[in-house]
Amino acid sequence: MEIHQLVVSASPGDAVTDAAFGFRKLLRRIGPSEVFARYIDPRLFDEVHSLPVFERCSHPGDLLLYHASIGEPEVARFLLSWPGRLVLVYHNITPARYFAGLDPAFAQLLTQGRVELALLRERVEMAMAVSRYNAAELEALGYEDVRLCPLPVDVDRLAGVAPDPAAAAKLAALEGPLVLFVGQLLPHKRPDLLLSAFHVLSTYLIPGAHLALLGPGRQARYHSALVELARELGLLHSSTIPGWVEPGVLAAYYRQAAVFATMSEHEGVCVPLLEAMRFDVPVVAREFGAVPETMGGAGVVLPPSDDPLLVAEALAEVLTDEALRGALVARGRSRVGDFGLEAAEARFLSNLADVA
Amino acid sequence: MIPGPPKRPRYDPVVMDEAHDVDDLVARLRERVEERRRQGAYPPGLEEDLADHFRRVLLERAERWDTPDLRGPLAALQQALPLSQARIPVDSSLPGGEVVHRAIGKALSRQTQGALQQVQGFAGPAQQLLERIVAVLEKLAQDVEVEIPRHLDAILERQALQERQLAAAGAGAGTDSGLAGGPPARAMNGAHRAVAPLTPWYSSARFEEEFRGGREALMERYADLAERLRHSGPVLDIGCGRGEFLELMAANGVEAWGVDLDAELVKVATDRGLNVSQADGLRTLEGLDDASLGALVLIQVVEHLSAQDVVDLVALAAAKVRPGGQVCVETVNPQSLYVFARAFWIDPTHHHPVHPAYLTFLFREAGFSAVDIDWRSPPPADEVLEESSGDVPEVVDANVRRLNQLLFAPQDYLLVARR
Repeated sequence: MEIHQLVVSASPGDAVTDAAFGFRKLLRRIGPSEVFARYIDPRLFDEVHSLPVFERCSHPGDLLLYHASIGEPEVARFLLSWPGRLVLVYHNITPARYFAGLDPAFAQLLTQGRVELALLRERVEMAMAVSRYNAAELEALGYEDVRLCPLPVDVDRLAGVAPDPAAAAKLAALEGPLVLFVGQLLPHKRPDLLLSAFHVLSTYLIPGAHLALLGPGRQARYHSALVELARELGLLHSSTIPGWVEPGVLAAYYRQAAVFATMSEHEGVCVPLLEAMRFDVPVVAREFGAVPETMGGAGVVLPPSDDPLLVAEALAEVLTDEALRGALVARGRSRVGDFGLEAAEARFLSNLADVA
Repeated sequence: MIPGPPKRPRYDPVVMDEAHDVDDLVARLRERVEERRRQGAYPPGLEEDLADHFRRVLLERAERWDTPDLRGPLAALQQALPLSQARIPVDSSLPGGEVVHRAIGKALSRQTQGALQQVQGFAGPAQQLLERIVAVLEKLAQDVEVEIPRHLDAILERQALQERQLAAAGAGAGTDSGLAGGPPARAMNGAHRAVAPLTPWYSSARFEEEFRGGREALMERYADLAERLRHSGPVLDIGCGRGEFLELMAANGVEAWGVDLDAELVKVATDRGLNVSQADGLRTLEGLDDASLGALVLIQVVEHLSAQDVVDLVALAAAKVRPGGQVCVETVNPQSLYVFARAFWIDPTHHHPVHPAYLTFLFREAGFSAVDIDWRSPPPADEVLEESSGDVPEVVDANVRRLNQLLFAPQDYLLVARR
């Protein structure tokens, strides 16, 4: 028996792909193990194999870990007909409503994803979820004995990356404090609310503050609307929306950031929160999805309101109250220690031992 | 080797003290926002302006569903009509050709006109039909693009909630052998109804009058809540008692009705012409269509319910209140010890108090988007411990304040959950 993994789409820096690579390292201690995908970013052609290869080479006794994060009819058809054994790793599926009207095809895939989860229930021998929040969603769909399986995140890795010198120099020259968001620039992450709150912050509370939104756009229309909003709010000189950046540049931003802010309304885990805490950056977020679970009380988690004034006030408080910053940083350090790579790996292997 | 943490000011690992408790912090931040608003630091309507701004920007960018351009050809069709003989060209490249064409045209004028009329008779209705087809297609495209994903989301969320309810009911089935009706029966049969109900010889209306206060006092007390629900009809008031709140709603012109288990109180209310019936609140709620209520009101009710009923009530409220609607629950505040000494146990039908943190949790878990707590009925000022006039050490006053907080917190709270 061999254990392999399947993701719908593999791309560098993608949390789901990274999780599959993390697990692959462990699985290769046991035997041959590969990652397969329906869509593969050309930069990963050496690392990831296509689904048809798996269809041809797999054996009915093999165990396949399927990472669910979106719908894909072709993958679902394959999973429902493949005779081998199936384990589900659930990374969460964004509710389709965030993309209705903006990207109907994508919205449909998200809806499809939840339908597929329900269909796969009978086929799956064991379901693992990367957070309690995700586990609850699976249980609501009728999955039983859902195992918690934290992401194999190595938060120390980014902290060990040398900051890009050019980016570091540019950021060091900033006179005001830097507010940082890291994540995909998509509707459910609500970067628009952060821009609005930052407009309030920099206009009425802390003139000279800067904002950086870092992360892949993935949705051109939405991305350009964000840039347009920043322009209309007069934030072109105080904000930057560069899209995806190299790890060295990302590390430079984390090192310079005075506060990390995310307004996201849907998170299965939210790895950037852990990265921020690892870099001693206090966090301001909102109470949605797995955010409170990941923060574990180590940051300012605002109630789920859409009030940009409240968010701006929270950012100003964290930027100016040294005692609060100190407390948040200390709590963050302690919290990030709970997400040790070794513990996550041990959990994964012990879960797997029950089916393998 | 991993380099040390990034360079930035080092902080001692202080534990977050009480002053930095996040709940307190949020409360302080809210106060500060209000304070700045009062001082005129922000232009009025700033947050609405900001929200509208992005919606507009995004809308400008959002392309419609990729249906082919249907309006363009339709406009071209409209321009082509009506058909006319005058639009038949007569020009010619041959010498004298134009004269010949005109002569032929004139000779055949009658026939041409007849043919044009027939074609016009067909083209007019055909054009109208096409216009209607395009309008229908556009509406369908709008539905496919926006409405269907929205509905599917709602269906999936509703399904998840129902499955959770079923799972919870299934888990409790073993200990609830008397209720063989399966999950729906369980939702209707709270534990408190299994306990023999109190059947007093005294008048429940007299009891209300004695301990809850007179009609005018109650109407004054709940005027603010009625104002809050001015645009939230239809409103169901569970445990409406003598119907004071329904009177307020009627005065505001809001459609509202109530239920209460007590026949005597129901009679008082119906005698006043209010729409009230004697029925169980949960059972009534269960019988309503989904998303049919604008608001659900429970004033001093949940402390009479069993833990299971409270849980069922919140799930039912989530199903029956329409998106954007509200649930208003007023109950005693168990964080005030004064309440237990002076008020809570006066009523022998009180089951147990419900903590605001738990109730908030329930509504959030049930998918309500915003849950707010409004603290009500502070104990009378002359009962609260007095602070010194300044001739004792500050620590004494600090202790007095702490005691006041513990003993004399507001007696009630109003939870408002928005669906």
